[in-house]
Amino acid sequence: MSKAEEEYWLALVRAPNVGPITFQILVKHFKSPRGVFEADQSEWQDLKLKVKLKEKLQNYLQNPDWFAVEKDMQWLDKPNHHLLTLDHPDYPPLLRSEKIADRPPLLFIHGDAALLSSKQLAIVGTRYPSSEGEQTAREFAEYLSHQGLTITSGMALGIDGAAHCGALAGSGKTIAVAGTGLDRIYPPQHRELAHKIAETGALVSELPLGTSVQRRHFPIRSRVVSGLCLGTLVVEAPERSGALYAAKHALKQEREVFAIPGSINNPLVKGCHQLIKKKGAKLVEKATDILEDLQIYRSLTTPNKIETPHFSPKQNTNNEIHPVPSSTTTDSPASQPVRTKPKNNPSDLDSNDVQLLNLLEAGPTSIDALVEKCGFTAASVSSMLLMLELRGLVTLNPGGLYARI
Amino acid sequence: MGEEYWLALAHAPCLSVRRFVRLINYFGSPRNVFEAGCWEWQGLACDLRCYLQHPNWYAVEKDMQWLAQPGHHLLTLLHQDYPRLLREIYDPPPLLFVQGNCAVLSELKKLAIVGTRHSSPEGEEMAQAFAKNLSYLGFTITGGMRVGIESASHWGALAGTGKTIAVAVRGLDEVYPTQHYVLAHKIAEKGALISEFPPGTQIKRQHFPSRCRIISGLSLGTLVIEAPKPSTSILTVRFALEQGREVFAIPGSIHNPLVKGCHHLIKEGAKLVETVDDILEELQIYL
Repeated sequence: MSKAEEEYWLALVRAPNVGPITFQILVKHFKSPRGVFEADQSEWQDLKLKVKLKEKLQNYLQNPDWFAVEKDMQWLDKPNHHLLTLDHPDYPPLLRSEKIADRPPLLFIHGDAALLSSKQLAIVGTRYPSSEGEQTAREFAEYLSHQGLTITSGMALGIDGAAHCGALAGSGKTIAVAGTGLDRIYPPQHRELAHKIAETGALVSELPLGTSVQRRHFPIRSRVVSGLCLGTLVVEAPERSGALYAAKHALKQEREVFAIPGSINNPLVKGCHQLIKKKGAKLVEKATDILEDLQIYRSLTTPNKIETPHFSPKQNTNNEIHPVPSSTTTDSPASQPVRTKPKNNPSDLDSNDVQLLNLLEAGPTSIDALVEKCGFTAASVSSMLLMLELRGLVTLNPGGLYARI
Repeated sequence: MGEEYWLALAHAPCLSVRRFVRLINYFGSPRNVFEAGCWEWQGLACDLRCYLQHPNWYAVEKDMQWLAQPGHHLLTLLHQDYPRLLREIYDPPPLLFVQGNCAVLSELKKLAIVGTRHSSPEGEEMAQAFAKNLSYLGFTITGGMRVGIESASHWGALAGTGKTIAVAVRGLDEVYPTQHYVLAHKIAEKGALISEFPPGTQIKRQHFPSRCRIISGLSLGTLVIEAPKPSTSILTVRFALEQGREVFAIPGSIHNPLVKGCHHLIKEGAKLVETVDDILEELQIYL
């Protein structure tokens, strides 16, 4: 029975010691994966590969793993399951960049394959973030997805998961690049999340079905995360975090790298500071910084009305309540519902906060003026204002003036 | 003595810093300016000509009395101990009144630390720690002795080697702000208080931005610790950039309004600083 072209791709990718670069060398020499299998001995002679590798390969070619390929084809038959090979017209153009010599020969996709060619931003970070960091990742992802960017990440615990959640609460368009074959989900806490991503976004893997999680896959996977995207945002990363691999790859691929700073006493952001100091990453305070840098202008069809040009994810002037995804699993960060926007009810504030709010009734005021008027210390005023901002009761306008919402 | 002519010229009304320097360049010295005579004064403005005929020797006398006190000095632009880095700026002050040690002014390793007057306790702690560590590494810390970050950094330097320079906005006969009386005197012990204004000069609005150029002008670089946006610290940075000096800023949480100015500076190219090593790295080439 003659086999489909795809079956030869799938068989070749399972050959031992054949990585992306060797795969491409073989396809270039033999014109196609089918050519590799059907070539006779003479064509192997002038192939420039190590002798041992040639031997192992030829051994495999005597007896390829057609059984596994059969299972791949059954998987691909299911709805919403796709395969994008390197020669396919829909193979993501950014991944074809000449800066990515080791581009994946093929991509397994569960979800919307077209999304891989959309404008994407990678959001990555530590697996053990602070709650503030997680919230920042979520809010940035939600806002940016509304602006038309697809959010790409590795679906790891922590920042990755929060970014996917944020995007799901936004436009729903998010891509998760897995470190395993797509017939399994890692980490297991993200099972529910993975299903949601496959519904409106896409799960992607270059690894054949059946490949289980191995540490060495993660840094390799990171090159696909950054390679698909216009830029990579690192939200929270300590000094030697695995999250920094995506930034490293992004720099090699000549993509933009963004990083969010924090207090110099916070070890969770040391990696971000290193990127800014030493690698030329751009310091980002608000999501609009990224849009400006990538020159992506506000989409005219966004559901949120963005009133101020210096929109920070916290200042949603609409005070919309976003739908809470239903969740029946345990409270891992990813399966927690997206935070609903705070209610505008000042009845439970203490007298100091009320005094501050009253001072703001007169109109937009600078923090210096507030400190002078109320007589509290600068530190307490700034933390009160922060709390009021989180509650959606005040907002920070361009020019550094606080205003009552 | 030459000093009296410098002082006399300093009291001339409506004589800007740049014009002062041009006069010196043209005539050679303040004494020559006064001794030049009507013929040579023809090209000068009317009010200046009047003054040169009748200088304010009374004010000069009072300045000399101030200078006669121990620890009080005058550094003129042509003096060999006039700080070299300050002489290089666009509009260096022709005279510097000094209370304390002139020697600290001629040291090359100087770093300005500036920041908001409405600082947080963490910001002040950071200012103190950085100033102390930098002073142990041989740096003299310059600042305006303002409330908040600047006074914290002066205290930090005092806890270190004591070498710190405070640039005043008025004559040195009185301390401003008044609550820094003790700080000012401690600074004068091992460091220096300096002013471009003669003793007795009251504070005017324009003295504040004018002072910023001296703080940055004295120093190899300026470190901004907490600065909301916009703020005076940003003005000092602008001078530093015009003078071709390094700019450093310490970041913080993106939700902290006190560091928005610092983040803005980093975005514009200031170096992000987490430890003193980051500062040393940049200034290595000057040392």
